[in-house]
Amino acid sequence: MGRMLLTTVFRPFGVENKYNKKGDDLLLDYLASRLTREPGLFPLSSYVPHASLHLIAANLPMESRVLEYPSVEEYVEEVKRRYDLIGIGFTIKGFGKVAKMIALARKHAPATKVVLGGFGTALHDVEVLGADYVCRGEGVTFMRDLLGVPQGLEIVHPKVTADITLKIFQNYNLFGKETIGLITSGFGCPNACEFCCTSAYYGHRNVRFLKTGRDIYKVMRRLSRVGIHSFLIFEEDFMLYNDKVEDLGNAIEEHQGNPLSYACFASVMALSNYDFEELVAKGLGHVWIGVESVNASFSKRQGRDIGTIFAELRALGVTTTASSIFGLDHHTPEQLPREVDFLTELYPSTVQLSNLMPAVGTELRRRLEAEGRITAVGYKDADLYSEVIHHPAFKPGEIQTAIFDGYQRLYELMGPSVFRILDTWFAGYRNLRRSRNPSLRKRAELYASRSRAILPIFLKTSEYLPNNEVRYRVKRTLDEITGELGPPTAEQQEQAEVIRQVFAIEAGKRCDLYGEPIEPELAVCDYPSGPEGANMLQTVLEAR
Amino acid sequence: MCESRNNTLEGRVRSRFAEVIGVSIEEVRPDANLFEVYHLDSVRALKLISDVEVEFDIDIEQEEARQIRTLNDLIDLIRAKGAEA
Repeated sequence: MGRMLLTTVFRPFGVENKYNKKGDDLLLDYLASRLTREPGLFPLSSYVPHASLHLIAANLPMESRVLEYPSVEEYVEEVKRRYDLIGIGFTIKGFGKVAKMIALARKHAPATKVVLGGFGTALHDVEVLGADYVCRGEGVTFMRDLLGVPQGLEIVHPKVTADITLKIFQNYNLFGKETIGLITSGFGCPNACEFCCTSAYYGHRNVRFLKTGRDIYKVMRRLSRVGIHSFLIFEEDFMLYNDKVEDLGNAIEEHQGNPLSYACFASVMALSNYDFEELVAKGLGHVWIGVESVNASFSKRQGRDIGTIFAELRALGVTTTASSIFGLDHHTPEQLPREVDFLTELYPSTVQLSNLMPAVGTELRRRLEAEGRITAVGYKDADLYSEVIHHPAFKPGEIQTAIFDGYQRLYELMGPSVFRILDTWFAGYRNLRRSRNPSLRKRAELYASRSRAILPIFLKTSEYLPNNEVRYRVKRTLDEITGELGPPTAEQQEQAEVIRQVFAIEAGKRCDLYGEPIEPELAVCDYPSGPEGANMLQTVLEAR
Repeated sequence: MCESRNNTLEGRVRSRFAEVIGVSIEEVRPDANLFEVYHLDSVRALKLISDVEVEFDIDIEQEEARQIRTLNDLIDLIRAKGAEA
């Protein structure tokens, strides 16, 4: 079989042009642009690879190269190598770039077949762009069908990782980064919330990629051998799949060596069926819960009281993400601050606020189109922070302003996300250290170790916190931590001093983090022919 | 004669446009309004502009693309950018 190139759309992203708006580069930073999108110097940063391209490359018996974020010139150079197949993964936002990439492929490699995949294929008329094939849905199965590869072959999950650090540490090699493993376990969601593009794209059903919890654990075990012990599982409302959760949890509990922990997405409805202590004993470390609104009427919000769920998770050291949507039908300008207050009451570790986004293919899109409420916008406005609908209670721009004001207010009320993470881990340590369950005591030790690791961030940076109330709370927590775990070591004090100096330098350079475009660099990853080889010979020629 | 005409800048642009719209090149009139006569939509317009950019190795800005009403407008723009057949 021949050779295949799999690629993202091309950079740059942060330049205002026909493809992008100013600031689009930030959207590639999963944490800084969304979950810790707060003012000040404490936001976290993490660039997440395009896992789908790696999954396809690892599961086809042909030599494959994955390109992430090439420039146009780098893409053309690669296309000239005359691959048999070029696969382009894209979202709606990248539609304009895809048109150009197909034209370039036709010019420089006319015999090469072009396949399009990703959420961008939900667009009507995507065939007009002239690709040979369009994959709508799960890519490995599609490509195996296309190439005549037997579907019964085992799924190989390649090593896909992301680093997490404070955003301001990116330019300094002084600080270690936390590397997490990204595991794609399944696609789609049966909850069928009307705004959800993931659910709509897969026909409101769950498509299992890794069939069992043991399959997920096997990926974890393999990555744990190279020092990765924290994982993010991509599968919407993971807690709906009790068999997977149980199976994975049992394997994690039996695991020898450093404890493994995982983050997942889960609804109030699904979480309501679980004993949280058991989940924590079996590796749950972080959970993203779609809050959506104080008055959300989605079925996934049925179940236990949401405030109690957040409080219990925090008491057990489980960090959380709460996501809310601004611009729902029932919203008024007076209600949006109430949404922020509600989130403050939940005290999540991280928060995502976003515009109501009517993605193509969703029920919401159909309804708003029928109501004449979609404003005329281009593809480059297809992101969580662009306003693309008319809401009768708001003037244009008001919802977007409320979102950014909301992030600011959450920061002022609750302090930096990274502090809430520390605070939650330490709460978990205190509550679990004397548990009768040895697995929970093991978790307590993990929380203590993590708390010690990020403590230096706050030892000498009090002046950069948003206000005296937050300073007081941070100091109180630091006092409690050092009271319980012992005073900072000499090494922690040294780290704290270096961090203080970095904060001083960065504070002098900019008043916020979002001023300077940061373009990702080209990342190239080769997969030899054959799924077996993918595990052995993953070569990153250039890291981002 | 037909082949020769297609090698001119005008012929190549007409040919591209015919491909994008799905009509024969004979049906393409360079002075016709692309949106009213051929019902050019945003996706096909995007493909046309991308194809032309690559074929003539030029860059057409969004604002320039917005001004185009006929193929003659597009041909003039390509010429103005220094591209020739």
